[in-house]
Amino acid sequence: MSENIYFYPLWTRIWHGFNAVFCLLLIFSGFSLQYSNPEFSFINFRLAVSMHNFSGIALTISYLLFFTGNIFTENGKYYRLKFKGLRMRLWKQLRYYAYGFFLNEKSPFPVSKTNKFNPLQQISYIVATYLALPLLFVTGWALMFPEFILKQFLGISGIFLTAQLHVVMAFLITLFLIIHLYVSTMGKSPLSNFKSIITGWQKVH
Amino acid sequence: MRSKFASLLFIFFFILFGLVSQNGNCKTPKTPVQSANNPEDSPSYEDNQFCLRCHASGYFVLTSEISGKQKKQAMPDNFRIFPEKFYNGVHWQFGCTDCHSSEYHTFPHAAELRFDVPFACIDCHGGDEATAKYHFEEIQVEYEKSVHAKLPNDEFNCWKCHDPHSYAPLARRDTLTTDFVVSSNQMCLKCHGNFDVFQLLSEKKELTEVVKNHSWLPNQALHFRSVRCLECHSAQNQDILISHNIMPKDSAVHDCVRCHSGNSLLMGTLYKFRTVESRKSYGFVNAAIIDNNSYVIGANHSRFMNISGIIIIIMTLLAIAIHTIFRIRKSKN
Ligand code: HEC
Ligand code: HEC
Ligand code: HEC
Ligand code: HEC
Ligand code: HEC
Ligand code: HEC
Ligand code: HEC
Ligand code: HEM
Repeated sequence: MSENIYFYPLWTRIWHGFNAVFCLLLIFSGFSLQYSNPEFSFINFRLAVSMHNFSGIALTISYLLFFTGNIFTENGKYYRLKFKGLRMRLWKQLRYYAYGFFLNEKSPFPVSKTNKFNPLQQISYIVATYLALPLLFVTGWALMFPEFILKQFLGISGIFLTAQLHVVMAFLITLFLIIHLYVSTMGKSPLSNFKSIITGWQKVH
Repeated sequence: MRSKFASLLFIFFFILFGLVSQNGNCKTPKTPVQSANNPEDSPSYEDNQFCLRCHASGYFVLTSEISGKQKKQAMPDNFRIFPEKFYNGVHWQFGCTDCHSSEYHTFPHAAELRFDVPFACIDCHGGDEATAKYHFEEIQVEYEKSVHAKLPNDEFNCWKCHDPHSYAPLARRDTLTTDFVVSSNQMCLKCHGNFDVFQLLSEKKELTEVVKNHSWLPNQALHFRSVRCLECHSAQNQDILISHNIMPKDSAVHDCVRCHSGNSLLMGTLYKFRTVESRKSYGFVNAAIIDNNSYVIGANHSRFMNISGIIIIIMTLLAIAIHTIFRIRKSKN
């Protein structure tokens, strides 16, 4: 017997849509800037600069809305990490993806009303949205107004450190995105999760 | 668990920091304190006082030849000489009348003196052993190709950019600083940012509207503080440190990627002096720029990071591909 639950409220879906679009724009334009080359440019440098600035601003706004949303609504509770036994739970989920999944084992943390994300999803969403994204925003905005960056930090150029941190976080988010997209295909059917992030409804057992 | 997480985080930042601090400035020599010359050490100090009595001051005293009455008159700004700058310039040991006619001792100065043709740099420095490293002859050749040398009446000369009463070369100091960029740009802006001066040579007012002319360049103020006008406007020349061939505007660098990329032209221009041995050192591309507290998008990535970033992404995709293969096989069973 399967039951339909309304899983992703409208506002999280709208947020997620904006988030996905701007993140992709940022990643493409960002990579184009980082690997810029006079012989071949993936996106024209000037266009890439404007694209990156615009999407960065838009993503910050949408992120702030999501952040306030998570403070004032139920959705925030899925983002509270319980440390007790976390390692064990992570291991179980990892083992399932790598092994159990192929033996048709039952998912160790089936989705339900109270349990929206499995431990791996939860920790990667927390790291992505509460650590990497905020750091990206702070460093990104700083790079947009470089006159406010410390000239020197521990003897190293401040703007350089800022840019380096920005790039490391950007790589992290890119990795997150790849894994995120792939793991999303491991729902009931390869496309079911994508349907539910659009419609909001999710089938559970 | 919490401490595990914290220590992981710590290790992460530690590695990041180590990566970054390989570029520590410990190897960069400190800016030598530019020894301020003592004006009184100049052999011409006493003689110069005669001229500077008027030319260093905001006013001069005019005496009526008929009544003997005296009157203070304002010294026009463009005729003022600042002794602190003069005695810190390269020609600080010179007397005023080494370059100017000694007839300037009389005042009012004779009008005809204004038609004197000043010495050219090459007159003294051509073939001069002591300043051979600057390659004056080569500079002269390059200058003669520049747009400025083509102005009618030979009105333009080296002194138009090199202030005769203060010039000191900054490019050869150990560290590049913003004031080097600013002072170089100031050389251009004293004309191209000021029509009052510019009109003595040309009526093309539009050439003095620098901000408007470069509105296509984002972060303009930052760019003009970090790169010189020369970077975009002069042809590169391997033999001399400062390229002197200013090209017509159509040949100026317009393409962002010429600077914002791994083989940034900046390394051959602004950072030339420092680049020779440091190019690609520390695993950072164009490290000399970073030593200067600058960061140029696309030109200052860490090779290690750029390559390992791609490798990690490829490995992730590979893992996904393998996982997918197993999934397909599973669904077939
Ligand atoms: C009594 C004050 C006085 C003294 C002394 C004086 N000058 Fe001048 N000088 C002026 C004034 C005023 C002007 C601007 C008006 C003019 O050109 O007559 C001027 C103009 C000049 C100019 C610019 C001429 C041009 O090209 O337009 C030069 C060069 C010059 N002085 C050099 C000297 C030198 C060199 C000495 C010392 C040997 C000297 N002056 C001593 C007052 C003085
Ligand atoms: C190294 C040579 C040199 C020395 C030394 C020198 N001048 Fe000059 N000076 C020049 C040249 C060349 C010009 C013309 C600049 C130009 O055409 O733009 C000039 C121009 C001037 C002017 C006119 C400024 C103008 O904008 O037209 C004055 C005034 C002047 N000098 C005064 C002095 C005084 C006073 C001293 C001594 C303290 C002095 N100069 C020492 C080379 C020199
Ligand atoms: C009247 C002769 C004369 C003229 C004209 C002249 N210089 Fe000089 N310059 C000298 C002398 C003499 C020295 C001192 C040389 C030394 O220290 O060995 C000197 C020193 C210099 C130095 C410092 C060299 C060093 O390494 O210490 C520079 C740079 C320089 N001149 C540039 C110029 C430029 C640029 C011009 C033209 C805009 C010019 N000079 C015009 C005579 C002249
Ligand atoms: C359009 C402006 C302009 C003109 C004209 C010009 N220069 Fe320069 N020159 C510069 C600038 C900018 C620098 C770099 C700033 C510095 O040295 O502080 C420079 C630097 C130099 C240097 C020092 C280079 C080094 O290796 O450190 C010499 C020598 C020099 N110029 C000689 C000349 C001679 C000779 C002429 C005339 C044939 C000339 N310049 C004409 C703008 C000009
Ligand atoms: C003494 C004044 C003066 C200084 C200093 C000066 N310029 Fe010029 N510049 C001119 C004049 C005058 C013209 C020619 C205008 C005309 O064609 O009538 C010109 C022309 C140019 C042009 C050509 C524009 C075109 O129409 O193609 C460029 C580019 C230029 N200057 C750049 C520079 C740079 C870069 C510097 C500094 C390194 C500099 N100038 C310093 C006066 C100056
Ligand atoms: C990033 C490269 C870059 C820098 C830095 C730069 N320019 Fe330009 N500049 C250009 C280009 C490209 C053009 C031609 C623009 C066009 O045709 O629209 C130009 C045009 C000009 C013109 C001709 C204006 C016109 O449209 O008639 C002048 C004069 C000029 N620049 C002076 C300067 C001066 C002075 C500085 C330093 C303060 C400077 N430039 C710095 C790239 C640059
Ligand atoms: C002559 C070389 C040069 C050219 C050409 C050039 N830039 Fe730059 N740009 C720089 C340098 C150097 C900096 C770094 C300034 C600093 O941090 O000291 C910079 C900084 C920037 C920044 C700010 C980065 C930050 O840290 O916030 C942006 C954005 C930018 N450039 C965009 C462009 C675009 C778009 C173009 C083409 C229209 C362009 N640049 C052309 C040299 C150049
Ligand atoms: C880097 C940008 C992205 C971030 C930070 C991100 C983050 C998230 C988060 C936090 C959730 C949970 C939403 C909730 O609270 O209810 C989620 C769900 C989801 N996202 Fe993304 N996302 C990104 C990009 C994308 C893209 C580009 C797609 C696909 C087009 C996508 C597809 C999905 C799907 C299918 C789900 C639901 C399945 C699940 O919960 O795992 N995401 N994402």
